[in-house]
Amino acid sequence: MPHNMSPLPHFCQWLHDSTIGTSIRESTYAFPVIETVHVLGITLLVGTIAIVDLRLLGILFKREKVSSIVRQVLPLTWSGFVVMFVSGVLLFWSEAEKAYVNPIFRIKLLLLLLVGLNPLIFHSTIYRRVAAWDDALVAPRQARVTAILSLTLWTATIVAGRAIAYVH
Amino acid sequence: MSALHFFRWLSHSSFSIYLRHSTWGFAIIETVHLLGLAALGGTILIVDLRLLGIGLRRQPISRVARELSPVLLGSLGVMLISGALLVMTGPMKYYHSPSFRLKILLFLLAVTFYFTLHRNAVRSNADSTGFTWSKVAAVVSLVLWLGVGLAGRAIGFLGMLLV
Repeated sequence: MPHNMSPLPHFCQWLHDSTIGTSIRESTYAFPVIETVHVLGITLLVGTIAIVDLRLLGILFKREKVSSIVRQVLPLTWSGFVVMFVSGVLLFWSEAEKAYVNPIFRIKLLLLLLVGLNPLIFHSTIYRRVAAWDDALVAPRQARVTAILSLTLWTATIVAGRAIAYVH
Repeated sequence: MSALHFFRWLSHSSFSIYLRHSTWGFAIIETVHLLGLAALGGTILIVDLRLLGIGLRRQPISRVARELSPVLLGSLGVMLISGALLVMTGPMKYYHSPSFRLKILLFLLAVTFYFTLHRNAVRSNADSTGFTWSKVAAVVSLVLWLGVGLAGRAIGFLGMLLV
């Protein structure tokens, strides 16, 4: 290891070489099992997010209040997030050194940042006034843009996630 | 024609040969298959969790299932087409894979169950907090579909171990 290594790759290498990272990497079943759990987390997280997006676009549950769908689905979304986050961290842990230099992994992190900012902006702007458009069959333009961005960014995130393994 | 003949015939088709030799063919089809899985898995999870009394409780069960059915059927279509294309990338590999055979068996069971007994459970709208057959149907559905997914994952994983 060169002495002038910057902290981030150094940290990734340390993770990679740690007991947990090495155990996951060297076990026959750990990686594919965690990966399967990660995919299940995605189905719950993205599945529930897609329901809200499709409601905003006026495709699903048109006759239900937007806030009612959001409120009911949110605990499932958070559960999916926790599963996906924890399993994702473990996957990264086991190949941190490889992931650090993988360009697709960097793209995925960027996409995750965007896909996380999107609902933050949504909830702190147009959704604050949801009472005014709660019953609308189709949500206002800004909410529809959020929904399309969300569906597109999540699709891209899944594609990037799968592609990590195809690029070395 | 036996299954073996059929898979041999598939593997000799020019389309299968084309897919096998393309660099990105498998990767692209697999990614589409995974996107289909996200949508299909999401729908199934939401309907089954609703049967178990979790999430979207203000809507009747049958309503949740009816609203989501276009997504379910659409993503099932995407998975079937991309799945068939994946088989075309190496028919003999799949023919000889025990995980693939298990997956097909579980898939047939899951689909049959989903559109018969499970559908009845959804239509009955049984929404009591205690034990109901609808909850059993939800658990059976979750187990079967999870089995399909795990067997699918095992095709690539066990294939890698054997090679």
